[in-house]
Amino acid sequence: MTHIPIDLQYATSEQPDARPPIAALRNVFKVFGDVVAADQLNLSIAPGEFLSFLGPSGCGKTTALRMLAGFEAPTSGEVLIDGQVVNTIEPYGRPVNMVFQSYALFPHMNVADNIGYGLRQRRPRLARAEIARKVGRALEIVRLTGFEKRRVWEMSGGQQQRVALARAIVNEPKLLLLDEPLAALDRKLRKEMQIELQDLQRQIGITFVLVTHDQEEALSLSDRICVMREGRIIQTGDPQNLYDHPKSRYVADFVGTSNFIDGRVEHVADGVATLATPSGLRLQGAANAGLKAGDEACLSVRPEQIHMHRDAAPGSLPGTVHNRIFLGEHTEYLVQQPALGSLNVLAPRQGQPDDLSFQTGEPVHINWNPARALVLSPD
Amino acid sequence: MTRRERNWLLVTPAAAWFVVMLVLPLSVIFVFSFGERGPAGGYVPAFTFEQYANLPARFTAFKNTMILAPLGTIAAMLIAYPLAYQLAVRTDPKWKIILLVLVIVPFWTSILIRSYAWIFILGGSGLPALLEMVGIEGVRLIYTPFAVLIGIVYGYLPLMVFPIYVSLDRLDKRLLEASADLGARPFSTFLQVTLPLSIPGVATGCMLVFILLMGEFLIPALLGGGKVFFVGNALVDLFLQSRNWAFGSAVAFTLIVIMLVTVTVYMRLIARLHSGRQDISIM
Amino acid sequence: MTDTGYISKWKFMEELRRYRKGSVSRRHFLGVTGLGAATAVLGTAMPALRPRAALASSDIGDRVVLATWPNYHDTANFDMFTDATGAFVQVNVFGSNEEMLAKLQAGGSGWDVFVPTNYTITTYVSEDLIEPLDVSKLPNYDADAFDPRFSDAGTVDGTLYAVPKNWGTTGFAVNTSHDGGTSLTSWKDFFDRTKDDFSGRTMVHDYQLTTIGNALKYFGYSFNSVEESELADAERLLIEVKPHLFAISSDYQPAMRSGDAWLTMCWTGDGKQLNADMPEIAFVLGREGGEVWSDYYAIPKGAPHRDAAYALINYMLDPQVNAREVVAHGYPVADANTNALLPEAILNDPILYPAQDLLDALEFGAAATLTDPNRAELLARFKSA
Ligand SMILES: Nc1ncnc2c1ncn2[C@@H]1O[C@H](COP(=O)(O)OP(=O)(O)OP(=O)(O)O)[C@@H](O)[C@H]1O
Ligand SMILES: [Mg+2]
Repeated sequence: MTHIPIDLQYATSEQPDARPPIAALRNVFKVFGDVVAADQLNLSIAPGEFLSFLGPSGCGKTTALRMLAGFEAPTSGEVLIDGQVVNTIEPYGRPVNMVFQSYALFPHMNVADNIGYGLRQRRPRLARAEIARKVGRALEIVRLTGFEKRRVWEMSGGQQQRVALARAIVNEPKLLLLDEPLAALDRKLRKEMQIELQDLQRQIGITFVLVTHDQEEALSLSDRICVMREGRIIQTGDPQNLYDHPKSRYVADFVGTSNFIDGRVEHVADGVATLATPSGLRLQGAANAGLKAGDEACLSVRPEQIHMHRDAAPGSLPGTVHNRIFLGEHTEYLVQQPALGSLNVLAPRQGQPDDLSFQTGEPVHINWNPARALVLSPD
Repeated sequence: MTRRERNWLLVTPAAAWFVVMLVLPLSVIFVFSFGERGPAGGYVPAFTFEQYANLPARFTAFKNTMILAPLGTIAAMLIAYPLAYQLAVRTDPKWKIILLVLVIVPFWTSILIRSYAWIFILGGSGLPALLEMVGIEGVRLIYTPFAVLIGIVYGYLPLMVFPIYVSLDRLDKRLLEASADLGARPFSTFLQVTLPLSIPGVATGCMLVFILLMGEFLIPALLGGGKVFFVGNALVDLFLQSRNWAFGSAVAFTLIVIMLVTVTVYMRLIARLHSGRQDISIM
Repeated sequence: MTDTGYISKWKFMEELRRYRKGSVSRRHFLGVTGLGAATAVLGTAMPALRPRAALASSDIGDRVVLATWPNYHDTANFDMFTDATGAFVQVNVFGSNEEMLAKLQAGGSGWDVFVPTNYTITTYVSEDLIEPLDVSKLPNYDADAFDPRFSDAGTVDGTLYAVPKNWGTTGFAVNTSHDGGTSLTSWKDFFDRTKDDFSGRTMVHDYQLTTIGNALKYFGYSFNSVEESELADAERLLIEVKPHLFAISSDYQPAMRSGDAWLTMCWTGDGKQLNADMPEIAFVLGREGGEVWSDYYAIPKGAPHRDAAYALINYMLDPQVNAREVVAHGYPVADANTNALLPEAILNDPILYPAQDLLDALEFGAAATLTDPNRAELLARFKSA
């Protein structure tokens, strides 16, 4: 997509962190009755970044977003936008726009009127021509030029999604909040829209805060991800960092897939922990900070880190191929290991002649590089 | 049972209802309206336009009805809307049902008895006496068009509140949030989102009340003291007093035609106002 | 009920009770509201609502259906009738003779006994809606004891169709505390003073027979006139006074009692009731004349319980029973046997039994007056003017 020089003047910053945060949460609590929906949230959002809240249903992602938008007031703590505490500022007073999960398009207005809605609320009033021009640009950005007069309910799901996006970005908000904006779309459309979203964000440079419980979406789109659990932010980091260095089993499980082997820490030395499994095996992996001998822990090995061999190798464990799923680029195996149970193995096809792939029921030997395994606290 | 048979089974009661309740009486009225009055009243078959030629004799009744029915509808709407809004939007869900029931409770009593209560409230020893105490003398309320208007609004308020309540209650609250998010203050949100989207409820309420008001006779008889004469009163007199069924049928048929025309024009108007809306639900 | 100040709870409840008893005014209230027919239909449609017939059933059946006027009977008499015969009296009240006629014309009324007014009987006969009476089944009917003026209309072309129930007059009731010391004695006073010191305080009936009839008397015309020019005069008068009227309604008791209205056209029984409760309300017969009427018991064609109908009429004609009726509702009877049993106070009451010269000036309504389409149209024009 070509860059369109629009009046949404948010140049992408080369070093977003160098500038003061565009928005922040400071010690924010939110309680609904006896449910703690936000538990001591602390977060700074850098201008121009694409941040995601990732977590299971009910963990408080929407609540965090709604506090930024102004639909919920924190029970305690501060919400800042552009350096100002905005706790008492109503949604209509905040330079923030939201794309709702169900789009919330106005059914009694056509596409252009929906998109121009925010502009029409401005005081002093904008000239009609000015509004029309901005709406035209926004439609161009979301590739819906020519759809001005269409009724919103005559549009497909993906088109409605883009109208909702256009309705928000046309106001040039400091912060664009997106609450599971793609959840209602089918898989293929979702993929397309993910790419469009990313393009759009780069193009206009607005700070995006996305809520999702789809880890793939978070990983592929975000500059930074906040993994949430029961109202708390468990870990924040860029996608690769989270993937490679999860701080807990919870994060490792939520970001990507992994094999977990429970056991007890025997000793820790030079950042390498030795784990004893109940079945008597001794396994090694990079130790998570704070682990010490005697702790309950679990070893996490990503499926792609496990190697399969026809013949035994030093330190390899015997197993049987239980199931095989051909994924094209990769093949996913389910290997039954007598002491460790079922393990997920992802083998690249690259460089493997077809007759080298393993068949169901075939005995195999597996091993992994201990440096690529992690010993994590169990929860 | 085939699908076709099932469909017939479903449609038959509705069709029967339509024929028995609507087509049949209407046909009778239509035929009678070309007849003549018998010497001792009633109906004598004939084919004459005399009854229709005589319609101007009831001009005032039509005029009163055509003024007070729309006026009453609008007044009821203006009062019902804030009430419905309060109930649907501003009330804690656990109170909603109780408050809604309170709106219907008066309907459990006969309109006759409720209108009687108004006779005493608006009568000389009611409100006017209260006004006298604060120094406003000589206010005459009972047996005036104003009293009829009050009775109408009071009597038909629940019919207006309900459809408006339903349309406001069904309104997607996220649209209101979206509007606020896009910078609209609460009152702007009301004007640009809530109000337009509750139009179907308002339209339904207005139609229900208007149609019923067009045929109203009890409230004008009780609160108008016989001086505020509706078409409904003319019909009561024609059928029960002078027993001029032929003329009564002509008046009734004319009323129905006026009603149909008004309602059709009104529906067109509402439909145009809402043109293209998928969820147009006038009735 | 004379105090001003806002309406008290008690007052309201009392009015409501009065309304429920059906005692608002003799006629027409139900006619105006169209409820007479509705109650009648309800009464037959919901037999479960009726009390059980007494066990001592006789051969006349378990019930008798009576179509009559509101507040026109002593219910204790009905109970005694039921005790004696086992037939329960189902009462349907009506608002106007027109309504009764309409119901009978429509057919299938289910009535056994009804109470037509004098001027309707010939119409019922000509429409073949009324049964000739078999006097042998009415041993209590002593024709000679009745003042013929009030029993004549029951006989049409030598055949007896109806026997007298009560009679009464149509005059006006005036609250004398507002007449400034000058009393009203004529229909001329009634209409002239309405345009003057009674402006906004007068009520006329919502009933063509009396309202037009009394307006005709203003000019000295016959109460029953159907002369075009005379009716035109009456119409002019009525339209002239209309702006001065408090209401056009036959339900005048509440307004008279609350003090909202000071002057109203009025039937005997209402006049009696108003005067009894508020002595300052006088009942006046216009000097020019006006209406005298007589109600009758009759049996409609096709009455389902004919024996019970005869039994009921005969029972009601028993002077003992009839005397109790008069005491209860305050309308006079024309039966010397009954009058002999009535207390002096009632017989000497000028409202029930007006002076002979006033009475002589009164006219009975005529059949033509009731059914005249021009008079009906005149009233409609007046009401919608
Ligand atoms: N208005 C409210 N009243 C009461 N409880 C609420 C309210 N809003 C949210 N909660 C509760 O707060 C918790 C967090 O809710 P939230 O909607 O933020 O979750 P989420 O992470 O967005 O979940 P999902 O992925 O299902 O949308 C939940 O337990 C929820 O039930
Ligand atoms: Mg959510």
